Amino acid sequence: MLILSKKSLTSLRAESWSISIDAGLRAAGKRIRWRRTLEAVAFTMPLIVLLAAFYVVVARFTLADLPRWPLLLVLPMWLVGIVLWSARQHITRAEAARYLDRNLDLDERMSTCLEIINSARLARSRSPHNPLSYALFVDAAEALDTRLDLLPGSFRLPLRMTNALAIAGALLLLTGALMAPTTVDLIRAEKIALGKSVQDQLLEVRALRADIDKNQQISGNLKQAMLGELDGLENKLNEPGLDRAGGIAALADSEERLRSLLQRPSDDFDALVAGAQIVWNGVGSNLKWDPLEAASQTDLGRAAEATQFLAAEVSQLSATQERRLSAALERGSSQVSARDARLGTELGGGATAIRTRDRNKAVQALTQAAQGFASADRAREDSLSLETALSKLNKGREQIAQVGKPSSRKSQVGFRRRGVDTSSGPQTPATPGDGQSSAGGDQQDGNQSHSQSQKSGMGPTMGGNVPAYGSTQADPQPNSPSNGPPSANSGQGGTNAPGSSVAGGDGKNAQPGVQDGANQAGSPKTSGGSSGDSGGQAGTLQGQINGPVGGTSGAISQVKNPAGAGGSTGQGVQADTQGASDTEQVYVPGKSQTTNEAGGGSPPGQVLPQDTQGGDGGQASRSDPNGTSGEQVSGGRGSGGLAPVHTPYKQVIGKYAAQATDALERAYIPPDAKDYVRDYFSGLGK
Amino acid sequence: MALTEKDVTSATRGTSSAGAAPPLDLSPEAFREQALRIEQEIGKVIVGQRNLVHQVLVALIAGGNVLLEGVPGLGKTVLVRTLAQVIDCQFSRIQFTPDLMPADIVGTNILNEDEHGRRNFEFQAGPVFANLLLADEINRATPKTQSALLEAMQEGTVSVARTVYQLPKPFFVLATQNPLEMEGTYPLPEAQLDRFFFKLNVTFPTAAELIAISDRTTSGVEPDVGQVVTAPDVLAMQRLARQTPIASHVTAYAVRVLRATHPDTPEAGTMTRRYVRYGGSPRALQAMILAGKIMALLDGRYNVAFRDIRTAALPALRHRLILNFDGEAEGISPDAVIAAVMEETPEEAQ
Repeated sequence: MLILSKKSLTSLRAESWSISIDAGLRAAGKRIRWRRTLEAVAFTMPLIVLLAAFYVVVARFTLADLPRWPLLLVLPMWLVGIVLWSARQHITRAEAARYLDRNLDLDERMSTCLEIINSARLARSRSPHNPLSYALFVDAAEALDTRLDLLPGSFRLPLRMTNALAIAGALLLLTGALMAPTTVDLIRAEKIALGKSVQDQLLEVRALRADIDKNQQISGNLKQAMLGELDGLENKLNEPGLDRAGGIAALADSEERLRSLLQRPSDDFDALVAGAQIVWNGVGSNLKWDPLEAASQTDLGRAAEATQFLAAEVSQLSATQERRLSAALERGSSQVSARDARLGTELGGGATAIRTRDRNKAVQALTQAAQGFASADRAREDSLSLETALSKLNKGREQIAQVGKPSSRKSQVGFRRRGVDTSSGPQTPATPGDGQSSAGGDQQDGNQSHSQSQKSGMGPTMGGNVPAYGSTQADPQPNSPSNGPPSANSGQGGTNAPGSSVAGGDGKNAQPGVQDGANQAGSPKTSGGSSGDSGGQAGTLQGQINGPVGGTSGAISQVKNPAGAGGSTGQGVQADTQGASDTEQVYVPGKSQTTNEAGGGSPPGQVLPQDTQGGDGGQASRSDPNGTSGEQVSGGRGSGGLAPVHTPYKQVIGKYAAQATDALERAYIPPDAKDYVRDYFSGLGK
Repeated sequence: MALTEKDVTSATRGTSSAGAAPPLDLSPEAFREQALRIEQEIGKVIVGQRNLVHQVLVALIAGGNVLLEGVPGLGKTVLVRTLAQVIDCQFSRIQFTPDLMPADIVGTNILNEDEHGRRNFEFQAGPVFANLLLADEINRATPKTQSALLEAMQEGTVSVARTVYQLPKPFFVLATQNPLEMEGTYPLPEAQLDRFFFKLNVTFPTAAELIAISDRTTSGVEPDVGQVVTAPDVLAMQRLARQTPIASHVTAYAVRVLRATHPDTPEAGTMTRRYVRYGGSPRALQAMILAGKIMALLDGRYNVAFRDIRTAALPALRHRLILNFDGEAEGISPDAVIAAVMEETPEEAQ
């Protein structure tokens, strides 16, 4: 017990208690700073977590393109801010003293001590000495020494219930924001992919524009129109914020406008090209005119040059040359007159003039014919350019429509517009025999082909046949298009109508229902490529061959018989597609060879197969223009059939689907049936 | 934050031009020891009522007056008489009745005739001239008579016929009043009440205390109460108590408590606003602070703590609160209001 006296006041050293008080104040100051820091942590943590959650929500659930890395900086920045704030806190001695009084139950000893000290320091002379001060100081020091260890722990977080609930709620929100499923990522990825696709289309459009610009064979007005349209399209695609619908709409609009410029589809020139081939082939075979040295690389261009050359050489023709050239011109005339009567007339006139040795007239007719070919060549170049552009735009539109979407949607957007090739890369449509075979529709169209001219080639103007697939079209149902009942035998051609010299397929692998030797279904494995196939493959054929040119192009079996008697036949085809269930027999330009010399030489358009694995007994017959004497060509093994060029199934499915879509759009078909067709192709496309 | 040597020196020894610190004629320990002896001696007579005795002692050391309120027979008079015996000072008792006159309290000048036949007025001191004055049932006297104590209680003087008479020191008035028999009584005016340092309620003894009372008072053995302190000792205790340091924020707390008893202050709580017409006077603050100082010393501390203020608040404020009509009608006691005030008033300023 302290006995306060004069003696004790002088004997006790002041430092003994001041050190204790000072140590206590320092410890209290540290605790207060730390406690405030923890309080700041507890108070600001919900705000920070809420801020982070808000950022996550914005980043994950909106289309705002926010980076994720700022989220990682939230915690460090918050901690740094807390530390800086804590360091700037000024803890007064009075605060420390009160903290000690409050937490150590000192009954305001420390704060009173400090106040006495401060009063003495500030007031000095006017401050009356308090005789109890020293006793108070010593008492406070003793109390501090014994209780300082009882200060609350430094690391105890001063969490109130509201704080805890706020933190828990904020953390829950953040977790939810992080874990909740969102489709925005997909949308964003789709948006990015869409942007990339649009950029790709921009590049495509620019490349296409450059190609068109460089192409000297396109007529000036058309070129300007196309370039203007592509410029407009480029501007539209360059517009900021372009979305999928906008991109598709821009491409579709441009496509429609370009389509309006298309006067004649390129396959409309197929007959002309076939005739041109006959002409330049005849000239090249009989005169010293080398087609390889021709200035033009197109058949029509070559024909123009060949005709011009012939006009120049007409006075020097030998009899044999006159006979052969006259025949070639006549065949060419018959080929082209369906599409260009004037040109056919000129060619026919030229042939007649050569045969009658009326040279002036021949020169005149041939010159006119050369001009006709040249004009047709330019028109065809225009069409090809337009179709190429259309194809690219359509492809781009499809890519934009499909980009970033789940694969399940792709089948929904795979429909094409009429005449648009969806295969990769531009194709030159409607060259003779260029159309890919579509075994589908063979039965029906094939039937028609015997009695009427049926254009069914592939390409932009491909007929509205219902696409079918060879693998499913080995319909054994007999056909009897125009001549005779269906033959039940299997191996012999059917009974042909008078005047026709149709040789039926040999039928080795013909199935029941083979009919009239012209159309027989192949085995189910084949895709329509059975031997002796003729009119039955109408859906696969290109071009038209009149009677005299029966079996011209390799894939051609659609024969127009002017006499209406008897069906001409195509080439016997045996397509062995075993092991290649996703391929079918198609014609590929440049892989053909002319082999048919029977009947006055192989027409230029006749393309014979390079490989015929199963062309057993295939026969082809031709009917003359009068329908009386058809040449019969035996399609022996390896010689009479088309080359079974195998094309991957997936390369043609698009075209077939496009045809189907086109047909769905153009003809009235019950909705249920439409859905059925769409589902069918969707299923195939997967 | 560290204390400097200069701070320590100035705080303990003082650097004032007045020179050395005034001498301490009583150490805090002696103070506490004497107070303890007083309580022990009173305890020989008064059974229980320790808190009452403690607070009476606080008021005595503070130099204040106490209003004891309790039913008859609880030992109020015995307490005061015993206190007078313990302190060894002059004791006087006035039984207040309606016909009691002021002169009966303070005294009066009477006409005397000396041996020479000359007449002069001679002041005849009343019973108020004592160290301890028991004003028994003070509320039975008329306000005029009650007012006779005003000067004595506040100033320690008595003025009679232009002459001021100094009352002996220490002067300590212990007034009692019976809360039950209110008929024919005159409630003390506010001015009178405000001059009481404390108002203490004398509670009824517990069963054990009653047994002890019975044993002591019916056995025929008188307790031997001795004189433990003198009047100068009491004065020394009064001087020491006033030197007890108090921190400013503790004083501020007492101020906030006092202001919280006034309904028109920001510190006023719900109950104050609803039931109080007027709160404590500055004397109440003085009473709280001074009582806090004495309580700290009696508790062995050298500074006033918040709890001292809290302990002193109730007896210092309860007779100074004037309830409004609602408070009176609903039977709200001032103690309840003060308890609410203490609960609502934070120790640290907001």
